[in-house]
Amino acid sequence: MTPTISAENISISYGDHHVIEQFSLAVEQGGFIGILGPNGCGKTTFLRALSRILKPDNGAVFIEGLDAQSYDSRTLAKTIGCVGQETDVAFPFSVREIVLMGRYPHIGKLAPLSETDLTIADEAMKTTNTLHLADRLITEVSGGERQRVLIARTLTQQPKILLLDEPTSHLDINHQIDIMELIRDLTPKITVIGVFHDLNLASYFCDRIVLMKQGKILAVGTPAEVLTPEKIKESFSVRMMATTHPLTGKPYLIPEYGVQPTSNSSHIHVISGGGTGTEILYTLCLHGFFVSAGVLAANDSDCLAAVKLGLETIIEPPFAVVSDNSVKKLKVMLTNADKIVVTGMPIGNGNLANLTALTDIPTPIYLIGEGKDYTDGEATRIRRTLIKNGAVVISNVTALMKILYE
Amino acid sequence: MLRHPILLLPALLIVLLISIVITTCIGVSGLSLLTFDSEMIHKLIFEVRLPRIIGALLVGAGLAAAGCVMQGLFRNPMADPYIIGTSTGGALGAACAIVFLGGLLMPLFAFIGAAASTITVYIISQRNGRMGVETLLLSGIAVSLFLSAMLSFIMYMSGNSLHQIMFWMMGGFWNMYWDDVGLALLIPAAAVILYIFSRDLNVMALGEEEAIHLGVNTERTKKILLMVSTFITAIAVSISGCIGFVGLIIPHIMRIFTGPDHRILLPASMLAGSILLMWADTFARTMPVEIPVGIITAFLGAPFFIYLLRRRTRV
Repeated sequence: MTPTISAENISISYGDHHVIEQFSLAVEQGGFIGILGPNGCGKTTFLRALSRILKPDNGAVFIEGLDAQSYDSRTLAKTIGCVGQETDVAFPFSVREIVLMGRYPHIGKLAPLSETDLTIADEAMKTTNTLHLADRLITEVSGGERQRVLIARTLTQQPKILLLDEPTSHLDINHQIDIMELIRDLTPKITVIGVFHDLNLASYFCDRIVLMKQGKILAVGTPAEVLTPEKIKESFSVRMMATTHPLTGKPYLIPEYGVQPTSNSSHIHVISGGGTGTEILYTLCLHGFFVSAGVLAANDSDCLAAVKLGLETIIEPPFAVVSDNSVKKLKVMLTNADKIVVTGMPIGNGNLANLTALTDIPTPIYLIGEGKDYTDGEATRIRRTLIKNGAVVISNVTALMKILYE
Repeated sequence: MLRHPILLLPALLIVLLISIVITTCIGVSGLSLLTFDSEMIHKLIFEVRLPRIIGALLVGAGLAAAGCVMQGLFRNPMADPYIIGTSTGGALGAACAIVFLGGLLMPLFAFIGAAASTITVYIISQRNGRMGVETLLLSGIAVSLFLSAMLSFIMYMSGNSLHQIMFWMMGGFWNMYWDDVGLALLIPAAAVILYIFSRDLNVMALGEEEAIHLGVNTERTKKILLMVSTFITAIAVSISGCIGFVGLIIPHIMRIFTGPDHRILLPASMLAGSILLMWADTFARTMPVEIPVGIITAFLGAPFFIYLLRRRTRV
């Protein structure tokens, strides 16, 4: 099958700056393709090449099998519709007038609008939920409404392919979702190619993702194939955690804010469990400390957090008693650490070894809160010993950070 | 904006026709249609007043049409027909004719000056077959400044002709004859071409890229519209000098009533421009001392414009 639209080896440069190099992409009919990449990677330029605003220096764009350059401007407008990033309209046309401009490529220069033209425009306004705005002025509707009006105008063109350049930027989350749902419902009748800046919106709505980096394609595939932390790191140079959205099952990306630890960062080991350490682990990472954790059970939420944060973690199988092997590893880690933080975790016979291991370690220890003791007083006894030997008791994370920065 | 803007066109047409009849009856000679010396009236009406009235009508329509198109093309309501150097070029041409040829061939020189300066601006702003609207605007300003320096020099050196140049520059219809009217008839003919592109102008209001997306051949459209409106302006300048304000204010005022749709805005502006300039010229020629009509248009136009701006928040 001939792809609906394809770019073959196109290169575009502004002066000496190569914005797009050797770019090839074929899009089948009916898909919803999202183009992602950091600012300045050439996403918009690529879109402008597809819509023939820019002529590639090399290579060619093919639309339904024909070279885009061979189209006359009206036929092209009947095939491809575009919604730009921000369109300011110079004069106060009414919404209906703007939408009817979409009929321009279909009618003669002086021909009056037919009944059919008016019906098509009304349909487009219904689809985009803008019919109630028809008699308002385009200069007097809100940003989200204007974006929907411009989509209605593009639909009135009756294109086979729809190109969108960040159609949801500057919009609130509710309007973003509205517009993305609206666009998704246009497929598979219309093939949609869009540049998006919100990775999670693209992950949820698009069937295929094109990830770009510096004018080249880094990866193409389903959201699950493309939106991995490794590829995102390569494209955006930022660390992201990839989870699965609990409802949609699509990849869901969460940025890891904060500073990466360096060789000079002090090493802090956190002993926690049952979710008492999650906030501490995260906060320490955020401040660029080199953090390790354990011993933790594999099903413990602190363990999940530590793994997601990419921390060095000593892990036991679920519900197992801390093994001698793990204790050995823990002792090495505790000795190497600059400081040790122990949270107010509940302590039973399973994880008591975490506490016992602390008794003959010279590293400074900080105790945050006190958890339930399920060991007939053994855990409490060890805590008292630790405090007697110089361990510092502090109330919360903020206090901990204060001490760590002193 | 009016509920049915289209009805403004027949209304303006009726006002125009009535205005023609009334202004024909007004004159400094005191003669009116009631005077019985028929041969005298015939001569006065057909040789003196009518050519002048119809000339003013056509020039007014032309300046308003050109202004309307320039505002649409530059997407800027402050654009006027002279924005890309047409008036300065025309004035320089006319000044040359006055100083070096004693006023001989002045309309021809004015036309050549107006056309040449605009073509220069086009050539400067062309790059790789494309003509950026901003570049056009800026090169228009640059060329205008250069030409006005030359004009000032000629005026400074012109001695006794200075008054004549000044009078010409302010614009007027005091020596209109039927052959000038014949020339002015090119204005409505060219305006038909502008009208054919009125839907394209509407789409261009969305911006050039959007217009391309909608299937407008923007480069060709820009070239045709600029050439035709420059042609109209150059004809107007060569007949009646640089009459200001009509091309700026009339499209502006009409947009308040008709909305921005050029299919109605353009003809409405032309009719209103005709009416305004006809009446302004009638004032000019019935004053105790004939004054340039450009002074009248500025005098009436500017305060009215300010009034409209204050009354309407949206223009």
